[in-house]
Amino acid sequence: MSLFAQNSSRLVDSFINFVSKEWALWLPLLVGGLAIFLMLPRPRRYPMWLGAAFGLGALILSVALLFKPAAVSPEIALFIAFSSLALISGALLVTQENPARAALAFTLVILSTCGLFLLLAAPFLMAATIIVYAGAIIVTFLFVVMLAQQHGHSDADSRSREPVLATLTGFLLMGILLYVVRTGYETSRFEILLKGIAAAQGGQDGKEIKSLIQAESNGPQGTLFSRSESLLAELGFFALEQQVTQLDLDWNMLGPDNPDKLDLTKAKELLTKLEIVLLTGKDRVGYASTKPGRGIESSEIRRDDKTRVPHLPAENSAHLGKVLFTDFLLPVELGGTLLLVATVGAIAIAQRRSVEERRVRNSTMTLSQPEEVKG
Amino acid sequence: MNAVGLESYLIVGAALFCLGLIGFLARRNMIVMFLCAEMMLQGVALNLVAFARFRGNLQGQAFVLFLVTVAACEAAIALALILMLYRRKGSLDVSLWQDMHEVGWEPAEDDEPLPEIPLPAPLPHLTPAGIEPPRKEEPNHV
Repeated sequence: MSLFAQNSSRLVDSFINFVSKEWALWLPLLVGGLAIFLMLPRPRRYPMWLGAAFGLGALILSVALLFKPAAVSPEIALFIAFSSLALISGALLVTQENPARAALAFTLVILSTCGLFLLLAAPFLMAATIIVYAGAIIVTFLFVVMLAQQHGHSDADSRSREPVLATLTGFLLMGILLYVVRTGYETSRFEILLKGIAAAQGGQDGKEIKSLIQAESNGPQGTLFSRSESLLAELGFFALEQQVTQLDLDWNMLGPDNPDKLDLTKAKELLTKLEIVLLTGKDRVGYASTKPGRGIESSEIRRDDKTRVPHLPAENSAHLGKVLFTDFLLPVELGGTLLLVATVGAIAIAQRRSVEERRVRNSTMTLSQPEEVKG
Repeated sequence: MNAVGLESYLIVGAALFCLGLIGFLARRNMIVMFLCAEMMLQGVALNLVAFARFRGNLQGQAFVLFLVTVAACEAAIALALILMLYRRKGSLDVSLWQDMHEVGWEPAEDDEPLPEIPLPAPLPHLTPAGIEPPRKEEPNHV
């Protein structure tokens, strides 16, 4: 019993610790969950402005606490615009009573994710998604016009199944996903080292560069090279660690003991190499396997000079086609077969009539025949 | 660094996925449920494109092309199924099918009455042109 009490108090302690430490994570989620719950359709709805206010608050909180924009650049502004449009219209799609309006909100979701695809250098996918979903949305509209109840409230549109449990499930899942993304992609130690490298590259003479590389003032001992080495070894990136060991040897060969004779260009070259190795390591954080996969090796990726984001080939559709018809030839064939099977299946399902319907139809036919004879 | 990182795109993708999940669980209109499932697929596609960008290869984008294919198949089958279910019950309400529930598990019932919206005033019925309207006093003339 006392063991149980001890365990439960430890659980409570760790929960309180989690709540106080990760408030940047759960606060926007809580507000967003409240917004969705308040806006879900039900016979007596809450006022619309209440849910809208909570939703806007959740968006602003998540931009300020989760995204934390460092500066104002066109890319960041576009990212915020497209992603908040996608999330707002996604929330509208979930909470809209009228299915025709829900289809319109879905159009907005598609268009804003297409904007995000463009930001991610995928123009072919953007065009393909718009073309495919334009057809899908038109067909959905047709179905809404054909099947949905046109006037007043209906059970299908104005009620929700278990709004509390559904919202709770969705936002618990979202919290877990965001927590895993935040901890799995934890790169702050790489950031510290990269900042140190950037500072050292700005050094004017040998003495300054040496002192910046060996900066022991802010915490851990050792040069930037040895600290990177131990970090990469700790994470299990042994191939990268060997590269850094080589760089460390080169640095010692340069003769950092008399900084006046230090070769500045060579030192800066070493620092750039170290930066590239660290960026590769930073990209690999969060991946379960460190084995090289197929395709381009991470260390061979060419990167942008300023942002250090990897280059993708400029001829997107040409290269995508090459990838599709070399690496993914069998899946392409399978995808075509799948489309054929789905078409056949859809026609077969849509034509099938239920037993009662067939019986009613047959009976009306037999009833109407004598009348025709009589007439 | 001013660029938007991988984590931000993953967060947006996760949010789209979970919004779609909530819609799929909570809504009762089958067409809206179908749209919510499509939105979950969009969240996954966003993740894959972001991975392709930050890994510097095109395999993620190729994967999204297959995802669009599967989404198209899903749309065809789902709309055919919706049509068939509508023919059987005459409504898009998915709760009409909850008698297929597990044994020993009570189906959820929502007893609260829906607010009444008065029907719009009926359109005036005009006499069709060229037809003499019926008159009450007609038998007296004969």
